[in-house]
Amino acid sequence: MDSQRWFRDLRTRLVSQDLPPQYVHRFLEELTDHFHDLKEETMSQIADPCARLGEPQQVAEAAVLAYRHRSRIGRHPVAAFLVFAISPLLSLVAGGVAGLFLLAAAARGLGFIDEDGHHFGATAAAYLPYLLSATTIVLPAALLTALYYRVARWTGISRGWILVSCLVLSVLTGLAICQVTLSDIPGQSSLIVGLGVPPDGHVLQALVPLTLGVWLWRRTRSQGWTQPADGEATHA
Amino acid sequence: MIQKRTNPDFLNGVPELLLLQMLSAKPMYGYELVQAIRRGTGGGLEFGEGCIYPILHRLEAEGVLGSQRQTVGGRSRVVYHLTRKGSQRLAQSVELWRQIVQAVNQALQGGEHGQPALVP
Repeated sequence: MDSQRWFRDLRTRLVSQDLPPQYVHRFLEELTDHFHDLKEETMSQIADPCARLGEPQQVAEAAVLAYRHRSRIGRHPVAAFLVFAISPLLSLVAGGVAGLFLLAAAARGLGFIDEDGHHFGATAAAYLPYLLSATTIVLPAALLTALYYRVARWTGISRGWILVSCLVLSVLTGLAICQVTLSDIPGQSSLIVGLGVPPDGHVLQALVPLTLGVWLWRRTRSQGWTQPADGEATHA
Repeated sequence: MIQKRTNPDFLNGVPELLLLQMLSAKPMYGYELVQAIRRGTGGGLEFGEGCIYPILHRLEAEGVLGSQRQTVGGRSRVVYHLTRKGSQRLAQSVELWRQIVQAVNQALQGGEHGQPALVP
């Protein structure tokens, strides 16, 4: 294979696996040095020094696996379980709280509420329950589904963990309730946040992270997913 | 491209052991390491030479190796050296390897009780 094509092929494979640019740069730099040494050594013996470096696919897989085995999540199933099955519980709560503050800040910025939290406009009040569900439940769940996908991809662990995190987020999202009751009497408005049997329509919110997660999971199949085989985690 | 015949999967971990062993003698850069392994093993191991860099990078990230960019032979190279942790890892790996070799040899020779129970 032509050396330029070999290196281009390898770079494409490394970049498509989301390896950091500085890692890819250093790796290719060292390989280029190696290639020049090989060329000098084999000038009159072997026509294709790239053959000695290995197939681009083989080299890229080795690089991806080695890079991802640096992470604890990639090496330890218990760490993966904690990250992908347990931490979504906490991160969704944190995301919901962040969404609530964001909504309050936006409402204040747009002039729908004053400093004391009063005086909703009629339109804003009508849409508030939906906005509240969207910003405190659905949007954080969707963002977290994407985030866990990125973490799984970054660490190169089994694709199944993407589904685990998306299922946990879907169940939580389906059970999450965030309701507001507005009152004209100061101090009588109420906000209810919690988990419970969802009223009609709330099941739909569970479909957002589920659909997104399954789509991302399927996407990994078409893009190729380099992940450790059994027993490789602690070996070269 | 010519397809290289490489060693089977059960050699996972062997390149790491060999890299550590070679680096215990002196600091080396990638190409130098490959040459040293080739000489040291009498050319008995075939592997894609590009695959040693990911192993070197991982070992460096684990603190087993250190690296330094140096000018060698008029060219800038990343030269790797063994750290104290690397020396400990090498000692453990060598010990483990000897145990494995001994156990496999014993099994291949039929063990101390004669022929293996399962014969294909």
